[in-house]
Amino acid sequence: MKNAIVLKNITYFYPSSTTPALENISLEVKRGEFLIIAGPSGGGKSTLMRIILGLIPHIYGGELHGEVLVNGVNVVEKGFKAIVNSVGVVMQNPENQVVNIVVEEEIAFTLENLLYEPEDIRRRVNEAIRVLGIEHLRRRLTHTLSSGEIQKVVIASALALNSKVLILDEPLAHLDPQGARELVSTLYKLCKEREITVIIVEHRLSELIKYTDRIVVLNKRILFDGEPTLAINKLLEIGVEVPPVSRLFKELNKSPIPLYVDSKAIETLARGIVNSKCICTSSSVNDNYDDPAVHRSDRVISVEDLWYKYPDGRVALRGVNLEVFRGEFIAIVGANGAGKTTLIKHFNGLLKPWRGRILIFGRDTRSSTVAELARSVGVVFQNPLHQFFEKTVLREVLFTLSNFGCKNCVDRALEVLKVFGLEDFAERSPYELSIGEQRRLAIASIVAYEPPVIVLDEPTAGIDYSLKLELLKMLTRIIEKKKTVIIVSHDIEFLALAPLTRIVVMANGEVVASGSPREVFYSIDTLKDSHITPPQIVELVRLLGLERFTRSLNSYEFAEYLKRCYSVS
Amino acid sequence: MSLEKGIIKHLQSALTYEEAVSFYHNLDPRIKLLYLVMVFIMISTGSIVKLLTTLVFVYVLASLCPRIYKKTLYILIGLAPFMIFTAVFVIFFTVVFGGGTLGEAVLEQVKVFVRAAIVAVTITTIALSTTPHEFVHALVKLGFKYTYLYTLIIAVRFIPLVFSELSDIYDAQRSRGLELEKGGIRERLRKLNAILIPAFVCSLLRARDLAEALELRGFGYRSKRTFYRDLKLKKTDIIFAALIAILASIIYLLIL
Repeated sequence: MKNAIVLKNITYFYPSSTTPALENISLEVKRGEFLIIAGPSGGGKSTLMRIILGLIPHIYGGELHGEVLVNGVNVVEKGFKAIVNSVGVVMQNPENQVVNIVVEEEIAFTLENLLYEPEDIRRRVNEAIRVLGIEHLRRRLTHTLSSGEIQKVVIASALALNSKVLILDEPLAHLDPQGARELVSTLYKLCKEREITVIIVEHRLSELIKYTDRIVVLNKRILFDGEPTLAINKLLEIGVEVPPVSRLFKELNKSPIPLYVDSKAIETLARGIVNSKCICTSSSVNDNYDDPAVHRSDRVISVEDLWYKYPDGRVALRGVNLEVFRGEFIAIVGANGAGKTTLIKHFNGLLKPWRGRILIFGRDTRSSTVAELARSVGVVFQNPLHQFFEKTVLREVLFTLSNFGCKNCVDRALEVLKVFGLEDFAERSPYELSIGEQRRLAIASIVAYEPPVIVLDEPTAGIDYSLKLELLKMLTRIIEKKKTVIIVSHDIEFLALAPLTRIVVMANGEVVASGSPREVFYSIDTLKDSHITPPQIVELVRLLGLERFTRSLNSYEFAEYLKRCYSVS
Repeated sequence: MSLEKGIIKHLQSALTYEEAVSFYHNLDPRIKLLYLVMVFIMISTGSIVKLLTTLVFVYVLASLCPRIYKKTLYILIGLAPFMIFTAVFVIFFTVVFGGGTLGEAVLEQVKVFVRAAIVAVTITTIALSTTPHEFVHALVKLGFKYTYLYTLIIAVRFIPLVFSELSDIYDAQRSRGLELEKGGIRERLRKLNAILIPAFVCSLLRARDLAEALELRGFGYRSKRTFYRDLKLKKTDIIFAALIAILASIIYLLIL
């Protein structure tokens, strides 16, 4: 029995749904394979995962055709109880699947349920903790762990059970680049050393793709199943994020398309460069820092020596100074826990300084209410579900409008919905929308009352590439209206595409660098110290020794430069 | 809002388990339950002398883990406003309408305070040093069914998450211009929906995830379960149990 998982002709309808969520899926996963299932949001990735786990149809109901075998056990017939021992799962929000208060108890939980002997449990728990290197977490309380740590604990509890299959649903969505790299390399190690089958459902592929030798592209049906190099074309076609270096080669019409910056890719490009003698500088060396749209005299936010201490005594911000001008498009970057969200919560007065002060259009936040400040600074938080409560999409927008004094502004609300492509959903419930649409609605309900400054916290978390591009278009449109936009993000490749005027790097509650994207993304030491990975194209440009001539940030710019200066194509 | 929030935070932090090494962390959870029962028997007395002796007794025992004092203080500070309010209220009514003397009424309230102080320190001692899992283990040994007891663990586990979610939701809605302090009663209740509905929806989603996770992890498949810790009475457990039993009987029987 070489196959860990076999799916035969799976077609599935959710209860009271007439269109299939998945159609005619056949898939065989070998033991010890490292498989990635990619595809756009709403393409049925999570559904497929629930089918493998047996949650469908045994909990969700609906109509399932076809056969599911996990380790040779027919899950549709026998139910998920039959595979408890063999499959471990890390859900999209792993904090919701942790039941116990202390890490050690959590790892032992399943074993206890299945009546393992205490001595055996202790041995297995110790082994799992050792393999994952989480001895320091053993006695920690589970609600104090970071998302990365929780994932490791969940994986440990599967290891303790000796599960041979690990399934992870969008595990990278809440991790910063360093956390993501750590997780992926742990999984890869488990796969190679212990022959564990790893299945990752994800649309953020840049960090993952170099570890796998098989990708399945899923959009209701299987569009592609095979080697990653061959998958790139398909992925580009359906709008899933691919590594920028792959995109670059595609732009230049070069093959083979690399999956990450390796020596072969560099050689291919270097050959083209050496052959041509001309040296020309790219127009993109100049950047939009001195953009005429930025009004240097118009200060909208000034942060003066800001310190913030949480009630429990942790100091989150240490002497932050920052000035934001009208018309700027700023990104605040930094590892998880660097103080980014704490800083933006000061911009509309949700938090008040412990020391120092913040002026919003010259007004001190300490003597103004949140409602007053929110007029000038609209903040959109990460989770759209934290703000929906009205019956319809239209009313969500009207709620915000009426709070800011615009009563009966139905026309204006409809207009905003139109701009965000939501006019057809106006009378639907916000909970019926897809994740991408919900995020758009969250932004729309803030943009509607036209605050001069708009702040977004991690707007790209959990949305796929085409939705990111859509978001970018929307933000650009807001900038064009002479408004100021500040986004907090660790999605570096997204930022490399955005027409930012400035990047602010935070680490340990301090601003460690601030400058134009070309300046900041090319100062490798600063980035390294703050645990930020530079964009892939920046890495490539540096390896080619071209940073004196071009400061390209993304594949489009670099492809344009190479075509123009070296006729590399 | 901030006052209530502060008190909840205080009580919450006082009643959570802390990882540490102390005498009480090593004590058998069954003995701790015995201790709790003993204390409740002792405070059922009406004699102020007995109550004060018990007070001294439990506070001396707490010295085995000094963290307890600070945490108990948190609880008492958190409860103080309510307790003082009720005390004044009760004294006032007994004297004015009940026809009791001022001295008697005050003494009754002092007893209430002493009892509260005793319970606070005992509960803190136990909560700080015992994980809910250990409690469940102890109670299962005493014959209770684990599936019901786990509800307690799940509640303790998810309460902090729900609280931090509530505060995130409140922040998000305030950023959209929600002002709970403004408007009449009806208006305010309507506005409260903006907090309660998202909180409800998010909790439902959590509950769904949790239910799936429990199913996938073998919870409730069998009527029994094992526990990875060994629960055996050690010498110190027996000595401690004997000590509290003896002291309790002395206080209860001998002191007048």
